[in-house]
Amino acid sequence: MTSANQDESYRLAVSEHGAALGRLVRAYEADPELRRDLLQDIHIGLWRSFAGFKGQCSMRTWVYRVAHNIAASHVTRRMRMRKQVSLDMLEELPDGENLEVSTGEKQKLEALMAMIQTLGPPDRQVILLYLEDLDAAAISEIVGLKPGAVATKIHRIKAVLARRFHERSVS
Amino acid sequence: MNDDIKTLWRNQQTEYAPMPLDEIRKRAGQFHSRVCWRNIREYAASAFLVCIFGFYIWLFPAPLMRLGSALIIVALLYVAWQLHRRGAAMALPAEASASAWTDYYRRELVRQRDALQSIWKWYLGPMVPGLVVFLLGAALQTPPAAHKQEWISITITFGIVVFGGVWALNAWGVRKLQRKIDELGG
Repeated sequence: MTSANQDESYRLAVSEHGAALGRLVRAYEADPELRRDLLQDIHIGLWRSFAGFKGQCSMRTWVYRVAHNIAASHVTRRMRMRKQVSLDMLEELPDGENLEVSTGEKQKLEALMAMIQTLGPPDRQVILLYLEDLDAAAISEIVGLKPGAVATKIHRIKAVLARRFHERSVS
Repeated sequence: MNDDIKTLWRNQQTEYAPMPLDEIRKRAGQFHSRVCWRNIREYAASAFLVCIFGFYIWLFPAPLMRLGSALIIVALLYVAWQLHRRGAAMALPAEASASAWTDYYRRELVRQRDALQSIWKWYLGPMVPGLVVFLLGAALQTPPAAHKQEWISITITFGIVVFGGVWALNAWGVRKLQRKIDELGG
């Protein structure tokens, strides 16, 4: 790919998926300074990656793969000492006092963010892509898990979200 | 109801504006500069140590210490060449970051495991003969004759503890990485 094409692909990617990248880094890094650094790393990684983009997959898949891989590597480096949980464990955990989410969207979003930040990859990737409204096939292509495994994870995510957010909102 | 959560998620405010393209190019260039500087630092460190041990050959009269110094110089040159040769393999190429996460992560883990596994062959191992000969030469040379046996024992024990410790840490690291690779099914 020529340098002009690389720039053009990057511009297009940012115009279409820039907002999703902003949401993604919020879910991966709580510290604002480190979040800014992570977002910069993702943008640089994305621009560099487009030198090798030859339409092997859709641009959306390419962008999400690069962003999630860089973010997951960041989390792996940063969170070696912090305990992460799986979706299975999340289903079994009590709702917890930090998930008092019946009051307002800001708190609900904060609680959702806190919950996502406890997850390790690839569960975190799956839930974030689910929230971005991607279907199981698209998520499978990005994360590299079998579609069946992704479908199972989405089923669990739905159950966890319903239990943690819907029931409290209703009550 | 999950659609509400999705809507809430997608409507949230994000705080950072995208970086201008010129800034991206500049920072990508800085990344390459960092890699170049890291290599230069490693070559400079090797050159400095070659000078030091070259000085030892001239300074110390004991044949074993001189031989040890020469062996260490050869090892340092070999390590510098290996660093240069392996430089390209130190990081995955940029487009590799667009692999599916499981593939990307597996490749990264395999790369780290292989680097750790082979470090004895090209980094630590070549240093051992020179260091052993040099330390033995120093042990035979410096203390009074009556304590030579003890000094040699101490030197050998020290070498075994240090290199054994590094070996044990390496082996532990390799096992840990292999477990992660196995968990991914690779």
